[in-house]
Amino acid sequence: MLGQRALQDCAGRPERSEVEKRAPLHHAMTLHRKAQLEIMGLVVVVILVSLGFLFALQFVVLQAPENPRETFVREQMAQNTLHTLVLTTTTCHELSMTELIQDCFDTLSDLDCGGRSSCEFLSGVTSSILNSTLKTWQRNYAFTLVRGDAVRVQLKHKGCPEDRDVGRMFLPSRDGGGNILVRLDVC
Amino acid sequence: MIKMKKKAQLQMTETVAVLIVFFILLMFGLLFYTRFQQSSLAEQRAEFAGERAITVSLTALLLPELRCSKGDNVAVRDCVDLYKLDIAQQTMQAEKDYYYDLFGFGRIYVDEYYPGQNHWVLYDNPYPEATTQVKTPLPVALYDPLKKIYRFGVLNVEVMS
Repeated sequence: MLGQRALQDCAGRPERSEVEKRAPLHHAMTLHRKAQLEIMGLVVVVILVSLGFLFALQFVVLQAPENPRETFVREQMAQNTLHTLVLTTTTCHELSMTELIQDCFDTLSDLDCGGRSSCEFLSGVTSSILNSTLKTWQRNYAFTLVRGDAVRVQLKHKGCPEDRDVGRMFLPSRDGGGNILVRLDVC
Repeated sequence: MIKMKKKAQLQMTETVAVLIVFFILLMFGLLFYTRFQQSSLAEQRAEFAGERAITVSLTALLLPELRCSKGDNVAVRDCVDLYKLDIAQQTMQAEKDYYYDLFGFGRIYVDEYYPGQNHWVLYDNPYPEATTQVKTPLPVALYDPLKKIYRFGVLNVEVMS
């Protein structure tokens, strides 16, 4: 009787051992440790996500500015080439390209450039020059001579479907038929 | 007691493992950032070389020793006087020290494309250990002031650094 009473507490419940008395404390500590690990895990995830977002922002959203030299060369290429081309003196009666272009659109033209018409001759010269320069420099281009709806010369090397630099020049017609548009697109 | 010690050791090992993984990831991040910085420096160097190429190209194009003029010294755009070109070829090669201040290391030469196929070297001062070489071609009209005719040419400017 005395032994049985000794194994019971005041409420009549069986007396707990030392290990059992420490169990709640140990359980609490385990919970704390788990919570700490969870928080550390969350922190690692947040840091990784932030770093990933920063790199994505750097490479995807922020576009690199265009190289200033590329811009300079592109803008120079179209306009300079066209300007130099129309000034060039040809071997057809020492006429300039400007004069040949005007003759090409002249309805009363009877110019003979070594058996070829002015349009054919200037087309050949232009093609030769542009292939030696723009094509060699790996630049696609499209060259056009237009007056109103009439297209007399059209030359291209792969053409310029999208992004291009345009060189434009208007030349007066000899027969009063409106201005001639000389256009060079360089990609 | 022994069981609790083992659990404690396991927990500590878990914590240490998490820390190791964290620091490895941090190390990879720093490595990646360093690589990125290095490529950024190379890009900056190339950009600087490109800007220098623009400066030298414009200087060469606007040299009074080469420019065409008409009337009262009115300069013609994108034009090189053929007679000036012949003389400039000798002068600029002889006065390399003077032109080094303008052009640095590089080459400047003119090629005729139509009707002839001539070549003039105006400035030739290469840098043997150059890591960057930027070439800028500029179409120019080559003017013969006596015959009053124009030829199609290209002024090539190469900058080395």
